[in-house]
Amino acid sequence: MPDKLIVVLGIFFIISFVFVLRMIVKHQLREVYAVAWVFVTLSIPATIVLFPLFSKVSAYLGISSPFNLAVFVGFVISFGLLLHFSALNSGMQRNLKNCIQKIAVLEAEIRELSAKQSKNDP
Amino acid sequence: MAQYSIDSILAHAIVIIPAFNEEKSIGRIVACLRENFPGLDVLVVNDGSTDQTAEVAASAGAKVLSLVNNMGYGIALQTGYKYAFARDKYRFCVQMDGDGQHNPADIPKLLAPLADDRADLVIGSRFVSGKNGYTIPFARRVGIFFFRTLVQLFTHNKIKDITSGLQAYNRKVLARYTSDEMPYYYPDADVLIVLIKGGIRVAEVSSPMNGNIHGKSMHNGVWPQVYYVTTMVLSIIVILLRGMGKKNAR
Repeated sequence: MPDKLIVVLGIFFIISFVFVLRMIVKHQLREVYAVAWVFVTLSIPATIVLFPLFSKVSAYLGISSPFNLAVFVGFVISFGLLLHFSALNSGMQRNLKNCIQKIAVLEAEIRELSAKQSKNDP
Repeated sequence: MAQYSIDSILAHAIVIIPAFNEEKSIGRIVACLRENFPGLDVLVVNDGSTDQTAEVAASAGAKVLSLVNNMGYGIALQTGYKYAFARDKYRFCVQMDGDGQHNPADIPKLLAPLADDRADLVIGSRFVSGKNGYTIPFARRVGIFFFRTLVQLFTHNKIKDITSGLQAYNRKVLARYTSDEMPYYYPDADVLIVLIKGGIRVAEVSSPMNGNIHGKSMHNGVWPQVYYVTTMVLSIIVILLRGMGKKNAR
């Protein structure tokens, strides 16, 4: 990997890692979601360290350049991230639905009880 | 199961009407129901309307449940099911749309097979008599034919109107509808497959529909129709993979 690229990737890693940590500390990002982003940021130094392995794997798979393999790996990671957050979103939507339904039913029950009480009041 | 007379069934039934911005029609529907069937409870589920739907429905004599956000037709309906299921008083439920397309006079006709214990779920069908107060658009007819064929293929049950919003059912069906496992996006063909595979007896009675007085449908436009078809097909595939009907039958 060219030295200039290593420097750029290193700077990008430090900035993104600090940014993610800062968001967790400031409660802007919950730990459960942060894990995926920490993993993504850590994949940057992993790519730098494992780049010689990338060359071997891309040669083995018949991919002309290890950078193309890196793009493919990026695609796989993006796919995983999208799936992970869609699954979390689905769970939250189900919880939100149940919560909103419960509020509506409880509100109606409160109205019914108030109406009953005001009828009973002398 | 015990058998009920129509009068007794009306006293133990509730009509659930999901409504989103239906202030122009909901008052008339509720008033008509209250006038013709005084013993019948009417529940309007206000699906986060931005107009006066809740107020109009309440002043016409309906019980009102209000969702804080617009959650969609299926979720609004399920809220009504949960309310009814939590109250032992309600042995039977009728669901109808809030846009004035369904005829409230057909309610006793829908409840009769439940009273006689001939069915667990009764669909008010637009296609049993073939008479309708409006013309169903071509694309929708193709969609209904497609999903009707799928239901027939997977359940060997020849239901003519699988997308009718006018239905009546007993507590056995209500229990299934309130489950979180049930598809709740648009409860149509997918839900029918689950129910029939789970041993629910379905019957159809003729109930011609009127035209929508405001001319608007929730499936208007190309994108909502494509989205509906895709989601429904996916939902049916998922149901078959999960073997949901069999699981519910246990």
